[in-house]
Amino acid sequence: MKCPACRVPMYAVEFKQVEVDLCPDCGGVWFDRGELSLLLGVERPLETEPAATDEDARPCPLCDKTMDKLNIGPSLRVLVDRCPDCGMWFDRREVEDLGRDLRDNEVGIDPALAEFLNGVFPVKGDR
Amino acid sequence: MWEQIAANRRKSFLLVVGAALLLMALGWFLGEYFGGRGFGPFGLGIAAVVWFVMTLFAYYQGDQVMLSIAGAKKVDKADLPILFNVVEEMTLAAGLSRMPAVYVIDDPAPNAFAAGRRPENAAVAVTSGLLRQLNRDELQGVVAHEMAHIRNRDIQLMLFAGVLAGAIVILAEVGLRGMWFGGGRSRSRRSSGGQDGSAIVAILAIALMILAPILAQLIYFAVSRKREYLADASAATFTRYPEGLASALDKIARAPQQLGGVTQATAPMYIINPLKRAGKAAANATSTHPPIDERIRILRSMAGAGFAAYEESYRQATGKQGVLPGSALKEDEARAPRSGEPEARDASRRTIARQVDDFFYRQGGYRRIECACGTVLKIPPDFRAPRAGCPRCGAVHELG
Repeated sequence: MKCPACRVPMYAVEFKQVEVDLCPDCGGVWFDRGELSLLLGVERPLETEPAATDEDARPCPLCDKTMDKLNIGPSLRVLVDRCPDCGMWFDRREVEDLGRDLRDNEVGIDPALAEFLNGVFPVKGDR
Repeated sequence: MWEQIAANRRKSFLLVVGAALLLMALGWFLGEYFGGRGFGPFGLGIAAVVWFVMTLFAYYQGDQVMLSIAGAKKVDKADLPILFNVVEEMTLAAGLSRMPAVYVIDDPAPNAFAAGRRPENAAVAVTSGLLRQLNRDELQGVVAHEMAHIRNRDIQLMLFAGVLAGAIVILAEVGLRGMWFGGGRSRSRRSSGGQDGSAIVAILAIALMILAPILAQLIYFAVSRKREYLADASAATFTRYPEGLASALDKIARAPQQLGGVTQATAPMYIINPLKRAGKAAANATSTHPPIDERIRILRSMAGAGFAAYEESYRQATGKQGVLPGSALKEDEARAPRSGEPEARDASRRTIARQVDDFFYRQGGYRRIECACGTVLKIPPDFRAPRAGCPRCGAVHELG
């Protein structure tokens, strides 16, 4: 699977039975649709909103269709690319941003997701 | 139980005989049309030979062909322990003497099918998408459904019905093409007079060429639809947990992916029709499977976990008489549903998803690096960078 931003092959990283794909060049993170549903469950998906942005459109690393730009999280301040069929792409630091947003808004999240985010994408600094 | 299988077989047998008669009629008229008067028996002979050869081939190679069209890979217990355990359990619950071979198809669309000519040498195939999306209870429901197809000898009958439908389609196609290119002696005869009989024959031949494939498909579908209800009811009985299959069907039906490697002929073999989006317009008349919502509703409103409970629930959901063979209901033990809560947050899903991913990583020649901090890096064979960083502890692993 190739990075949607730099087109180089990515590698997978597993922690506590959660797996993401990482780009060795830009540090972007791909969450597979299945992985997202493992973490977020179906009953309470993240808040999303279509985003107006001039950031380049990117192809989905799995199906190659152009991904949507979305703002996600409780304050809708993290901009991600999403393929409705395959998954979600976070640029470098965006996963941490989402983690911070979830913490600031005291959104209770699945313990497994919390463990994974704290382990691999820890939120640094105070509120 | 055997009686029930026999009853089920008899009804299907009639449908298959109907299809066989259709095939012979088609052969006869094609002979008359293209060979001229008196060539009917010859055409019938050709049709019979086509069917015989295809049946022999399907009988001895059908499951292998089906598995390879679908791109299925055989797995061992060490590869996917959870899937294997579930298949072992359901082999016992279904009372099969031998465990079917287990195959996995690398496709994100969740689906499953069973194949094989006898319960003793059957195979169960599931897609990686199914494994990634279902928890253990749901997986058990799907495997139980496939086991029911194996135990009820559905796979064998579907194989024959499928071949019969296939033979009819092939003959009709050949006939229509022949006509297109101006073949057929009836045409020259018509010009030389004395054509009253042949005109009727020609019309009948053309009508058959157009209608036979449609009829064959309808028969095939009718055979397969009935069997889905029985397999659902059996799955509820084997697992004593109808909600497992109900919730699995719900997830499969809502998945957006379209399964690859499926043809019209193999579609009825799957737990949910994989061509559901391909032919939306004709979806109901030609559907290989009962409406998915209805199947889920029946399972969810069952008052127990046996055949009688399924039958009662079917009646209430559809307002129809009933769907299961009487002998199944007679021998039904009063089965209480298994106690226990639905699995919290799909805890087993993660374990299953990792097992299936790792299986395909091994197949794909990925390198596995276990970082001291507890993460595992999986490096694809086409990876270009000379090193890979662990995002957790920052350690850099040289790939050299």
